[in-house]
Amino acid sequence: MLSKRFDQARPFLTLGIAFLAWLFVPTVIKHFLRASFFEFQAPIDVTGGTVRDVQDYWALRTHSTNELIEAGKNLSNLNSQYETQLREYASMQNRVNRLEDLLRLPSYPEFRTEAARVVRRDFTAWWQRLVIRKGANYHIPVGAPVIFVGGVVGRVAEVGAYTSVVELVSSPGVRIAATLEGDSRPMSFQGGINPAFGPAKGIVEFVPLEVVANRTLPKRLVTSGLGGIFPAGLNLGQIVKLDRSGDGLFQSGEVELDPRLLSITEVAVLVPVSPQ
Amino acid sequence: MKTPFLVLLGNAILWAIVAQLDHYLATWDVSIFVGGLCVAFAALRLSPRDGYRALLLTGLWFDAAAPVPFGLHALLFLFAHAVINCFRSRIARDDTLISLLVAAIANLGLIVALTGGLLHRNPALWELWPRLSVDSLISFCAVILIGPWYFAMQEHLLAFCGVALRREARNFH
Repeated sequence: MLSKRFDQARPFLTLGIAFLAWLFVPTVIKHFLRASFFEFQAPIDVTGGTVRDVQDYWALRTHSTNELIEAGKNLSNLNSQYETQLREYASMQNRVNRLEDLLRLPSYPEFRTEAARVVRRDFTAWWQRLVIRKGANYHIPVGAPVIFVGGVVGRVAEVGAYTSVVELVSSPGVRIAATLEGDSRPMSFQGGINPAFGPAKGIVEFVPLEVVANRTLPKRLVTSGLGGIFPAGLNLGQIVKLDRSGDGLFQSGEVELDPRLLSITEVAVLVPVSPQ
Repeated sequence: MKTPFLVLLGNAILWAIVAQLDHYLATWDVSIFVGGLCVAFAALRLSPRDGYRALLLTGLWFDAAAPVPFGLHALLFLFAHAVINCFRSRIARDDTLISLLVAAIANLGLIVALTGGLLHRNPALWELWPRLSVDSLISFCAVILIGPWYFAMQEHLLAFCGVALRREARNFH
């Protein structure tokens, strides 16, 4: 009877011993194991992304020549607009540099933009991550901000040999210093509300009491530049709901993130030119 | 000794397929978790020792792709394996329907356990439950739909490499 009970408890006993042994395994070995498994998974992710690119290519091949000519015309129009804007940007940058020199202001941190394809989206209730097709081979550092056409995507959480993992702004636990567009008072943004079949949301805290925002009159939330990771002025989302917080000194509310985050295929990693 | 690595290979194929499904499902902000299938196969079809080793490797594989403490999936998989091992002699473990049922229950248990382990990160717990319910339901459907193919694939993979499952399952330590 006792032997039978021991036989039944043996798997749990083995598990307990294995767990205790695991706790004493040096962190270096755990880190090495994790990195090894991660690098084994990287080719699978990249292959999946490449297959999707080939699918897109053959889907585009089915378009007629007239459609391609029309798309080419639109692209050349866009290119000429961008060229004009680039020239304006260069002259404005020169003015900023001259003013910084005159007023002896500290210059803004400079970034190199590294465009990267998304090879895998992993949006669970517990975490929201992207795998991109650039890693240490493009000198992507951990913690680098990642943006897209709709604003902030997130920050680089892990870097592999030729892939990186981006933790999304909608991921629980991600906190970013924010401010209202055209305002300088700091607030706190935290991601983590990801309802099914709808755009991700976040929480904004420490909003001054006089700020009014609701669904009919939303307020745009942008990065404040505090904290040193994200440059100032990048779009985070729209504040659609505000309630007085428990202490009565501030308001807290809900931020709707850009719905295009859910179908994102291309991002830009802002690599600091002179990392700290 | 090669059985755990072969099972890991099969589980890695399953992981890759589910990762691609998740990529497309991300557009609707839903996801699939099928860890229960890996646990059910290892616990019902393999010897306890080989099942243990296979699930340790599989858990670490899942851990490497997730922002969780390294070893969390492995621990949960091994715990589920130990629980299933307690009653595996009392069920028809070669039956696909029973295996699917065990996989679905194990999957739900793992989702709940993972949620419990990562609950502290979420700023709005009341908003988490509807999403988890949808994910659990979709995962349940995925386990039922993918399960028969997965069990057959693992059995064929092992048979192809000369591993007899019946001998493996009887090989108690």
